Amino acid sequence: MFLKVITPRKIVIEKEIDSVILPTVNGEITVLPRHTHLISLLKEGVITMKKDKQEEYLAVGGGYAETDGRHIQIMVSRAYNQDEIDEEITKKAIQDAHQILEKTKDKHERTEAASLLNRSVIDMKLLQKYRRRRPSSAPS
Amino acid sequence: MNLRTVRKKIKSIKNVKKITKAMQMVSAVKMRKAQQREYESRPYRDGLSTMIARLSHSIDNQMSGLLQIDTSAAQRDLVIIVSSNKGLAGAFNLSVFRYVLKRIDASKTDFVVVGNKAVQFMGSLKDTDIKADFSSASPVLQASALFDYVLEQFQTGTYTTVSIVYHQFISTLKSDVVQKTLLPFDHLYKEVFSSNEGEEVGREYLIEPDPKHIVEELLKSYVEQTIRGALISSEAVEHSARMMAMKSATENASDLIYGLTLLSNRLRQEKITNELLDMVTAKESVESV
Repeated sequence: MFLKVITPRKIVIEKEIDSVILPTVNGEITVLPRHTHLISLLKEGVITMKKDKQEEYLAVGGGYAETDGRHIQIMVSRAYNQDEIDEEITKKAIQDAHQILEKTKDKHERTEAASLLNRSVIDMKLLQKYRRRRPSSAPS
Repeated sequence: MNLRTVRKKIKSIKNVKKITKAMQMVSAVKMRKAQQREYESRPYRDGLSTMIARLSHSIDNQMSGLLQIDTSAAQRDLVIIVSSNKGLAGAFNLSVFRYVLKRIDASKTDFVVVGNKAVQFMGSLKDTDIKADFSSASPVLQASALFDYVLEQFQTGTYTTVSIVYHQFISTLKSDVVQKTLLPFDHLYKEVFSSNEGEEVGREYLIEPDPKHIVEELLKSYVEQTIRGALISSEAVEHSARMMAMKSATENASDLIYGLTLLSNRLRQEKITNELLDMVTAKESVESV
C-alpha cells in the first residue's frame, strides 16, 4: 500500500507500507491493503506505520485521511517523527503550558496553551512508544 | 562643476551602490526561500481539492453551513488586500493598489488589509473602511487568524462575497495581480472541478464520522489554505520584485559612476592643461623682457 503524508509545509512521507494505524475522531483504526474506499477525519495523535514488522511513528495534528485500498493519502496540519522532537523542549513546553493554564484567565491565551499542551503530550507519547520498541537504541 | 564635487559625488554613489547590491543579495536569498515554500505548499492544497472533488457527489447544499449562509440582505463586499510591509520593491505595491482603484467600488466595499503599505495607502483614501489590519512581520503565520475573522464576518450575513486581492506568483520575472473569491464557496468550487477534471467521480466512499462533519471541515480547510497560499505567493513575488528593483538600481549606479568618472578625468585633464598653459605664458613673458 502506498502511503503519502502531506502537511501544508511539505510532503513528509511517500513510501510503500504494509499497514497503518490512524487516530480518527471515532477512535483508532488500522488500514490494511484492499481496505474499502474511505474518507475519514483525523484528530491529533500518533500514526503508526508498519513495514516488514518494523514500526515507525509520526506525531500528527488534525486532518484527513483518504484511501482506495491501494493508496492512502493523509493530510494533516503537522507531522513529526521521533528525530524531529526534542524531549527537553517538549517537557518544558508541557510545564509552561501548565503554568499558563493555572495563571491566566484570558480566553485566547488559555486556548493557545491548551493546544500547545495537547501537542506536547502527543509528542511525548510518540517518544515513549519509540523507546518501548527499541530500548537499546534509545538516546539516554 | 569642479573636480572636487565630482569626486565627492562618485564616492556617495559608490556607497549607494554597495547598499543596493547588498539588498539585492538578501532579497535573492529570501526569494528563493519563499519560492520553495510556495512549491512545497502546493501538494497539500491540491490534495484537499481532489478530496473535495471526490466527495462532491455526496455533498449537497444542506450539508455545510458554509454553503447555506443567508446573504440575501447583504449589500457590501469584503476584500482582503495583500501588500508588503516594506517599500523599495519596484511596482509591487503600486500594481495592487492600481487594481483596487480600477476594479473595486470602494463605496460598496469594506477592506481587510495585510501589510503596512496597504494600511498607509487605504488610510490616505477618502471614504474607505478598513475593517481590520492583519499586518505582521511574517504574514503567513496570520493565515488562520485571518481566515477565522473573515469567516466570522461572512457568517453575520452582511457581505455578499469575500475576496482576496494578491500577487500570483508565476515565475521570478512574471506575476499577476489576481482577485479570488473565497466565500461563498461556489467560485472556489468551480476551480476545484476545473483542476480535477480527469478524476473519476462516481466512486462510493465510506465517510467517517459523517459527511456533514467532514465536508464542513474540508471546505473550511480549503478556504484557509487558499488564503495561506495567497500570502505565501505574495511574499515570493515581493522578494523577487525587490530583487529586480535593486538589480536595476545597482546597474544604474554603475552607469552613473562610469559617466562621472569620465567627467572627472576630463576635468583633471583640463586643469593640467591650464596649469601648463600658465607656466608656458609665464616663461614666454619672462624671456621676452
